[in-house]
Amino acid sequence: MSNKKTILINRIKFFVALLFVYVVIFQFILPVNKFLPKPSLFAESFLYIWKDYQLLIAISYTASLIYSLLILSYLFVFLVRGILIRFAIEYRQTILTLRLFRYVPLFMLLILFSYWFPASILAEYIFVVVLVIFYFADKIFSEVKHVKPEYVLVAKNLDVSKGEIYREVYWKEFQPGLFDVINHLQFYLWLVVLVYEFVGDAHGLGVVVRNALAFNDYTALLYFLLITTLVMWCFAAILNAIEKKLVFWNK
Amino acid sequence: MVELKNISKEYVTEDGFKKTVLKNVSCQVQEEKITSIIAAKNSGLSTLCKIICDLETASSGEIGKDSKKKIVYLPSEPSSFPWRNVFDNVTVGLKSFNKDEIVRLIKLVGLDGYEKFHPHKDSLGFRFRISLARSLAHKPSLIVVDDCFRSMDHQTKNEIYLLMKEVSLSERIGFFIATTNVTEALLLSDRIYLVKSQPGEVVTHFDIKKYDVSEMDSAEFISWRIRIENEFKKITPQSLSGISI
Repeated sequence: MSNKKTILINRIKFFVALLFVYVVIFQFILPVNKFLPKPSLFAESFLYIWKDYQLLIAISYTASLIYSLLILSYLFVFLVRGILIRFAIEYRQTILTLRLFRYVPLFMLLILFSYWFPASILAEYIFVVVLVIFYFADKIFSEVKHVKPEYVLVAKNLDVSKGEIYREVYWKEFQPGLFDVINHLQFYLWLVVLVYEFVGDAHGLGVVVRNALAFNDYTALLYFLLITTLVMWCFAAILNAIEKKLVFWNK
Repeated sequence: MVELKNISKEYVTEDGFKKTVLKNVSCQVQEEKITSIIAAKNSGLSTLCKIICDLETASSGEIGKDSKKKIVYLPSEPSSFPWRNVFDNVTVGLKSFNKDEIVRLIKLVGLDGYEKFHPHKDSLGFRFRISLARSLAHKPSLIVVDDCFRSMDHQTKNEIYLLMKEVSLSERIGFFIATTNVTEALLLSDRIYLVKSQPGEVVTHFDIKKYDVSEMDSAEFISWRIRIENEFKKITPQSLSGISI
């Protein structure tokens, strides 16, 4: 049996075991408790959650915002890669100064932003795009000194133009690092966007969570957690497959 | 022919000290011949190779060469791009190319049938062959090889030595090989220069016949090896740790 299949079977076994423990403890031993809802109640609530909170619309909005803006930001960085790399090489001192912005507490900025532009979809989009581009640019600036010098020397020696060296050698060398950023950033973005939506009372899953908290709907919160986890896992798998195709030399 | 006349190179270190890495290096690299330069590690050979290929500038001295003729640099680390397949690697830097010619060069270096392969998961020998084909595609008069073989296994090294000698003859190309290995220089070269280290300075040279791997146990080959080692002992009396046999 292949290794992947074994891992999948083990995971399924693990989740079935967890489910079994959950049902036994919270259905029969501790039906009234402060930790988890009764399994039968939890199952009954499933359809109502989607209808009452318009969960499908909310989760689609938040997920599409995160992933579409992640892709758009990547495409933007791809288009201006030559300028970014040139800037990273030729203005190192300026960049070292600019990198101080990494220490600005993001959550403070997030709260400020949501107060400046309350319930604004556009502001939410701009915030996410600026954040993602900042992380991509920061990665490029930090990776620029790790590009293998032999690649650059050979390209120069073979009369490859400066612009093409930036686009062909430097950009390709940055790809594995940028995909690492995407992989980490997607989890971080979920947190940031949910908090932004929660604080700013704009749209999406953050607002739904806010409403559920207002109604003390503990079961709904648990559902949101499970569904968000599932969505994140699905997108992580898709991103992983894209990375394997695009950055094949690093795998 | 490429002629180096009194090439010197000085750096200013981060501490502000002036460091001389090359001092009055003079040597001749004959056309269509293989010339080796042997020195201990950190003797400035990489710097010298880059100066010959116009990738660095000398602090003083001059290089006599035909500016129309291309000199290609092969760095010590594998330099084929892992994101390009073999064919695309060979065409790097070419404004236009003849597909048949590229296929011929790939075949010449022994990679026939591997045109669509990506080099990221292959051996150093495989990647060196790609780099060699890529260099040949630029129709150079000289290929500067900067200690490329040190991490290769014994068998791969012998195959590459043979390939380089064949390529030099068939394509009428000269090689300039910077190495720390005496046997390698004896197996490949028509002429060997010895360089003393810190700062790098050419001490002497030998014109020899190229030896085959099968002749490595011959008395003549061994006597050459001992002679070169003894010369090295004279210029670096403390130890021979920097070079290998």
